[in-house]
Order: sequence, then C-alpha cells, then structure tokens
Amino acid sequence: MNMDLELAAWRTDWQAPQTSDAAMLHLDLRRLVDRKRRNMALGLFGQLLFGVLMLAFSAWFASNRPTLEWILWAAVIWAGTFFAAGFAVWNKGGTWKAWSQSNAAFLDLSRQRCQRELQALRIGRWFLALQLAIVTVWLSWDYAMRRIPMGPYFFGGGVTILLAAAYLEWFAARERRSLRDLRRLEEFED
Amino acid sequence: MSSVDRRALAAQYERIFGAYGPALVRLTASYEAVPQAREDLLQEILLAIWRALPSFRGDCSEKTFAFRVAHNRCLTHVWRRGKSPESEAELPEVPDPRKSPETLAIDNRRRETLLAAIRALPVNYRQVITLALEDLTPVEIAAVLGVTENNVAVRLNRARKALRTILEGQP
Repeated sequence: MNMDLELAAWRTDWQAPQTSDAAMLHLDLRRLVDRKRRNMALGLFGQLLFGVLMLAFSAWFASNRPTLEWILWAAVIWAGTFFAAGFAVWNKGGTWKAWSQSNAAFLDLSRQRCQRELQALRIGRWFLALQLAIVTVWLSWDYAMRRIPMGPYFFGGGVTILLAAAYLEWFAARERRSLRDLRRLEEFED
Repeated sequence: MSSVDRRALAAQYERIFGAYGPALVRLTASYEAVPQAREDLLQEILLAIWRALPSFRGDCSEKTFAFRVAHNRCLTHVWRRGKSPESEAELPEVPDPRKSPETLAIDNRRRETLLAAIRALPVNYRQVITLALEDLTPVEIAAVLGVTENNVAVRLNRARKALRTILEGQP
C-alpha cells in the first residue's frame, strides 16, 4: 500500500468519532478527589507505621540501656510520636468525604485539604524547631559532661535540618499553588 | 488576576477543549487500556492544561501547547505505572476481529485493533504516530516533543513500520 494512503487509512480509523468521548470531556473533580483520598489514607498509614516503629525501636533501645539518659530519650521520642500521630489523625478529620457529589463540594473539600496541609506545615515547622532545641540542649549537655567531639553531630544535624526545611518549603509552595488553582477553578465553575 | 483576564483564560480553556478535546481522549486511550485509569489520566491532563494555561505566553500554537502538556502527563503516567505485572496484566489482548461481537460496527473494531496495536508500540514511536494521526505536521510534532524535525521523520518512519508489522500479525 502507498505510504500516504496507509497513513490516511489509519487516520480515518483513529479519528472515527466515539460516543463515549464527549461524555468524558469535562473536568470531573470526583476522580481527583477520590485519588487524593487514597493517597491520604496511604500517607497516614505510612506515618502511623513509622510512628509504631519509632516507639518499638526507642523502647527496645532504652530497655537495653536502662540509664536515666536513655529512658528520658525514649520518653521524648514517645511523647513526640504520640503528638505527631495524634495531630495527623485529627488534622485529617472531616477531609475524607465531600458533603455532596458536586464539583462545588469537591472544590470545597480540596480547598479544605490544602488548608489542613498548610496547618500541618505550620505545626511541622514548630515541631522541627522544638526538636532542634532539644537536640541542641542534649548535645551541649553531652559535651559539657563528656567533652565528646561535636563536629559530626552538628554536621549531621545541620544537613538533616536543611533537608527537612527545604522539604517543608517545597511542600508549602505546592499547597499554595494548589490553593490558587482551586480558587481559579471555583471562579470557572461559577 | 483581573476578572477580564480570568474570563479570557476560561474562554481560552473552553476553546482548547472544544478544538482538541476528542484528540486528547484518543491520546489517553493510546497510553492506557483500562477505562477507569484512562479517565483518571484524562482528568489529570485537563487539570494540567488548566494549571499551565496562565503561563502560556503564545510562543507556540494552542494546539502544540495542549499536546505538549498532554504528552508530558502521559509520560509521567507511563513512568508511574512502570512495568508492574498488574498493569501489564490489565492490558487487554489485541482484539481479534473474527471473535468480536457481531453488534460491534466494523469501523469500531478496526479502530480498536489499531488502538491496541499503537499501545503495543514503544513509547517514543507511540508519541510520533499518535501526533501524526492527529494531523500534526512534522514541525508541530517536533515542537510538542522537543526534538528536531529530522528526528521526527526517522521516528515516524520506524513507528509506521512497527505498526504495520503489528497489524499484519493480527489474524
């Protein structure tokens, strides 16, 4: 077959109108909202699993070194983990389901989710600062008592904090952009 | 952004979907065989175009812009899906025209056969062939994919050959 005729024949088959095509062509936020819910559930499960592992590890570690220092360390880890897990569950409350099956409700839910994420982010920043303060006090005390070299600790801590801060800022920018998009979509839907 | 800008943006969005919507549906069908996942992919493309629209400065045609965004989303989709056995297992076999239900129109069967054959192509061939089937010129295809026209010509040639081989292998 002539090459151009062959392509033309394929093109005719390819572009043959389909009745289902038109039905698919509208912005259906339900799908996006549902997928986000699946991701939220997976994310929360991951956080809780990580929390359980942290609790188990710190308990095991402290039980093997039952000194005041390590018991205190485990207690701080437990308190932090319970706070973070509790906040994560509480913060997602009311954002699992839309109040109706309309685009307006889905937009509302999406906006609420973004706002909650930003709220989690604000808490996350404070939590990071608190962890930093605890680690600084801890290391200073360690240094005062034992004169151990602090360089590697400060370097490791610094890199971790920088990475965490960069991640938080990236996440905040993403959520703010989503909020802007949602506002534009709301105007479009109106 | 002023209300005039917003109205212009909304009008542009409607115009793009009016003109290229069906082509975008066909494009998603060439990347995803599972209907549910295909609709998800289409929604992602619609939203991605909506998001990218304010940054569209008119340095290419709306057609090129829409297809570029759509292709990027499709590539992300392919990358995300990877080669997991589940996703491969979900892909239906290339339909056998002799076994198709009699109620199906012949045109529809031919289209399904072609679509399945296109899905069987490697991604870089699939990209050029789907764009060529949407009447894009080699210059436009090059702009969408960010490659040279020569590269498009070579890829298109190979894609056609591969597609022909698959189709001829059908019963």
